[in-house]
Amino acid sequence: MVSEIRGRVAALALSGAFAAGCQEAPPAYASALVIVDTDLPAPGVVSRLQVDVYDERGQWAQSRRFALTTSEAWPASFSVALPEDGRDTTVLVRLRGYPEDAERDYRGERFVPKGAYVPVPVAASLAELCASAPELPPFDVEVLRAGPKALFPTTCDRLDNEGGSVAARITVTTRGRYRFEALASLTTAGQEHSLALSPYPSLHLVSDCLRPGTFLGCDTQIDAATNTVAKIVVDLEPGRYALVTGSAIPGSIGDVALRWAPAAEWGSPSFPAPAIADEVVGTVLPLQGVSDQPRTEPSPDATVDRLVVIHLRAGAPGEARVTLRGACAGTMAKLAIGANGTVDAANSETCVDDGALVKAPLQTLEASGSTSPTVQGTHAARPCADTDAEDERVCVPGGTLVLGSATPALDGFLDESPRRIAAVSRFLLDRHEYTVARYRAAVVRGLDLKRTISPLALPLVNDGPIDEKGGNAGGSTFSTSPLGRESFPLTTIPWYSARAICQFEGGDLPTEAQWERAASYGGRVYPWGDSAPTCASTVAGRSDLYRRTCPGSGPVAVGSPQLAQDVNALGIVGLSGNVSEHVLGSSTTYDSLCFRSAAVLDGVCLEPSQPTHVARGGEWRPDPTAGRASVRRSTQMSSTSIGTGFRCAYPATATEGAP
Amino acid sequence: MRLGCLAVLSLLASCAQDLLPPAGQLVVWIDTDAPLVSESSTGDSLRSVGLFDRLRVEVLDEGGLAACAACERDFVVSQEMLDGGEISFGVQLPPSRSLRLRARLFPSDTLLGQSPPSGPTIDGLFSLPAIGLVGITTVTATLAFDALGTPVDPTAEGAPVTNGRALARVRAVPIARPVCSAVPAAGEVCVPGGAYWARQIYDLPGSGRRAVIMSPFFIDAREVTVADLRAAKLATASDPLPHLETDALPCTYAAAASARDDLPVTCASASLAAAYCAKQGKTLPTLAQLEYVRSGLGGARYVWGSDRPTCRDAVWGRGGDDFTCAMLGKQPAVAGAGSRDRLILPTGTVTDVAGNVAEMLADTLLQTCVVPGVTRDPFCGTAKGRGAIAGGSFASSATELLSYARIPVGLYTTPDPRVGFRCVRGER
Repeated sequence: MVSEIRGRVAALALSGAFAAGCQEAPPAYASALVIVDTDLPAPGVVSRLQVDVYDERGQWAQSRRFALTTSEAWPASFSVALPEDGRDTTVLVRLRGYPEDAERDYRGERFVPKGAYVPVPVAASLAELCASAPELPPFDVEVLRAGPKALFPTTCDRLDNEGGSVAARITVTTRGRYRFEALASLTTAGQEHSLALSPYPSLHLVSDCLRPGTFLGCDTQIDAATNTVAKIVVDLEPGRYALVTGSAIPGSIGDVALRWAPAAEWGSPSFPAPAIADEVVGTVLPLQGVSDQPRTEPSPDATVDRLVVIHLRAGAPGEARVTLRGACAGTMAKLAIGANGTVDAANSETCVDDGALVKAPLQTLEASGSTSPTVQGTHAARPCADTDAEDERVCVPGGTLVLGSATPALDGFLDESPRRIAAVSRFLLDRHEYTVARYRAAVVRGLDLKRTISPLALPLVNDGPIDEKGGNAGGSTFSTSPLGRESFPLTTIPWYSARAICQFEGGDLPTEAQWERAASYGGRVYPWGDSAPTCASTVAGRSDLYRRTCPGSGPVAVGSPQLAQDVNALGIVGLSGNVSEHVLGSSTTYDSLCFRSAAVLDGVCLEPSQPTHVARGGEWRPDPTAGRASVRRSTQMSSTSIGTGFRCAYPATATEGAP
Repeated sequence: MRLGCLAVLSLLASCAQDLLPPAGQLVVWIDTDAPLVSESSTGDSLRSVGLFDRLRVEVLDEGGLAACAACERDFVVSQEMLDGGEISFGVQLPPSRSLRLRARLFPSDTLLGQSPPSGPTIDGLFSLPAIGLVGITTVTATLAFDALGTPVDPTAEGAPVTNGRALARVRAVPIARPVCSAVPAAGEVCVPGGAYWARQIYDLPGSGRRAVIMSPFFIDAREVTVADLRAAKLATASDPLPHLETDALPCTYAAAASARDDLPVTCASASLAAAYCAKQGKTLPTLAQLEYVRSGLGGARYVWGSDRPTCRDAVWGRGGDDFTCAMLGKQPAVAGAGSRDRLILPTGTVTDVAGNVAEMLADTLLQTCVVPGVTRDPFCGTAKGRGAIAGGSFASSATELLSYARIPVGLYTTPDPRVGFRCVRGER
């Protein structure tokens, strides 16, 4: 029933003169059959193949895309034939395997190396803060990051500084009145670091950065209309001064923008527009035979990008077998582009199998008809062993997935695109969200967040009923003594506290990739499948302060029948709704340098001083559609929410299952 | 089933002698009058971008079930392939079986999970002739654009196929876009007609998407400026609201000439905007007209394509609702400040359709236009006292730069410092 040429899906004829039907014989061009396999799951991770061919002169001769949406379509094959009058020739073939919905605008060849990520520095002492304080010219804006440690012991408006600080040096050359400001999140899109306002920073002007007592002015007033969080207007003599911020919130970290100018010139002349980071300008390669290049190209972070050099022999067609390896996901091929937009195959670089770039190899041609089994789906695939199974900790098999979706993020959510290929090792994940009862039991066993972190690390106490109108405290599930909510997820817990609890339990918060692997297990849009959620399938839309779409209010107990449908293929409960969940990851886009420098397998983008982290999954307040497996939202590291809890991940320690 | 001769591209290699099966096979050609996506870029703005880029074929048995394990296959298709007569595939199954072909044409970005949604899909079910013991039988299955959004019952009797290779070359939407029959006036640009996907911002991929066919029209190249409105002598002391430096988001208008004259005028009422356009012999644009332009005339996510915006690309995120680009100021900019916020057409360039100021619309009852199938030049009606606005502004988040973003009635009310307008004119 099934054809004996199963898997040979298409022919890429490069002559431009396509045969019209099966009746015609192939021409006697120098040719080769290219057979493309992948060790990534197909079609779950790789379902599209773009083939670009550069001829002997380095000219982009042909570009084709294939939809390979079934596992039977792999390995795929196509023939390369160039009408070079029957003589031998050499071509450079670029193969890009990628998932659906992972394309970006084609704006020329834009190679970006993976690079090494350097976290944003934060000062660890007052001496270090002052020594590293940059000189801030008038009218300039400087964005600096405050670490969690209190460095600058002073008081403003009766609020003691208990959080981190940033500092800048000021040189006043003319006596007069000056204005100084600290501003909220000011950034340019595309910047590597996601900026977030340090919670309620105070602004201090001192004559000596090292001596907080040399205090000349301070402010803590927020003006939301102008995005100013603190402002000082003061008469100054010529001299050197320092601007230092603080925070009344212990352990708070964040980004603060500082600027200053003569008060009389504030706004006239206006502040010059700061330079935006240069655009990565690509070299647009001319594609022969068409007036325009393709509109889009595979998005690099979700693509295995492979170059091969193939020597085509007239009259002796062979087969070139190429495997697109998951280890190369996100590593762009580097085309050596010469004059006139031609590509030098000999100096072009590609990832072959370990994530590193090497010169594009000359592909060995095998005799026609050679066969080998497909390796699709083998990258990072590690099944669970029977002994991994526990009642409350579910084993999630190792494997590869595509993080994110092409759905544009709505206001209040983080970008899910561009998408990114990631792999995770086998791990264990809590079947349910971490409950009030588990927290209480952990405290009995010695967990002491107040001592090990700070008094603000504790969950908020709510000794009354859950009432979302009562703010974070009124909406908290935790109570001084049990109030019938012991099986409810623990909420109003800061990110760092959630992480500390998971570490106390012998695990950690799940990485974004681990969490999405579980929530989308089996390639699903929602944990239960692709069907849109309803009020019956997930606990969501239950708030009067949001757009109410479902009956009820507040979160539910983790074993509640209302979560019976919110179950993934492995039996993990409540990933779509009830409460969103803290995960291990800084809130940056998947194409940030932080993510790009992370390993494909078990990589994580986690910057210690990043003020915002990610929460995943929907929760009881917003609409059920917010519970897609790929939805991300940003959460301040120190903030608490009545809609956010967590669950823990643990390493799988049992003997691996049979391959 | 054998899908070996997947001649979507060519039959050249897969039909080589060493690959041909010894048994008989069926070669099925696909024809359609629907506009397929063009492989090349939008460099040729008079060539239709197209709507469909994916063909899913399934060979079914008489019960509507897959006839074999590998009886489903997707193909990337394009207008160029259709025009070149390159969309065909081979079927090889044991002879004397009653087979049906289900062929679905849809935009690949609507795939949610594994199944294409019915709304933006042309779904066809065909009865296939019996496959002989040897030899090749050639047939053509035609998918009609008019069937958009109508799912088939896989167990039903299939429509007949045409014997032989019979490609009609009929197109429901001309590949060459219809252009204006007159020369645009100064400050106007002719927007050629064509088809695009209208979408809803809060819907998941595919749901609520509908095909819209637009006639050509003229549109102002830029948003109406302070100087434009003052010259029309329609402003009153309170409409538009005047510029006040102390406002958090100041309006731009002033009765006397100022440095803001070239900025888009904001804080005007909907009636003043409509009156201004009427005085020029124009109207406010419909949602569809503005969405069509904002989608790059083809349903793209942004006027420039699919990349999410940077601060350089368009004027947005400058305070008010979003501070991402607030370093660049807190007011709209002179036309053309966004490096990618422009639609380049043969008769001129339309600027600031994604950001700068949100723009007022002529039709206000936006939901009434959401109908299945194909709609031509939709006008969604009006309701007294209600206005509607589309597009992002200097103060908005990146979400509102999406071509299909529209502002719910009541969220913004005019006059508003984030809202301006431009005018359109029918091409005849």
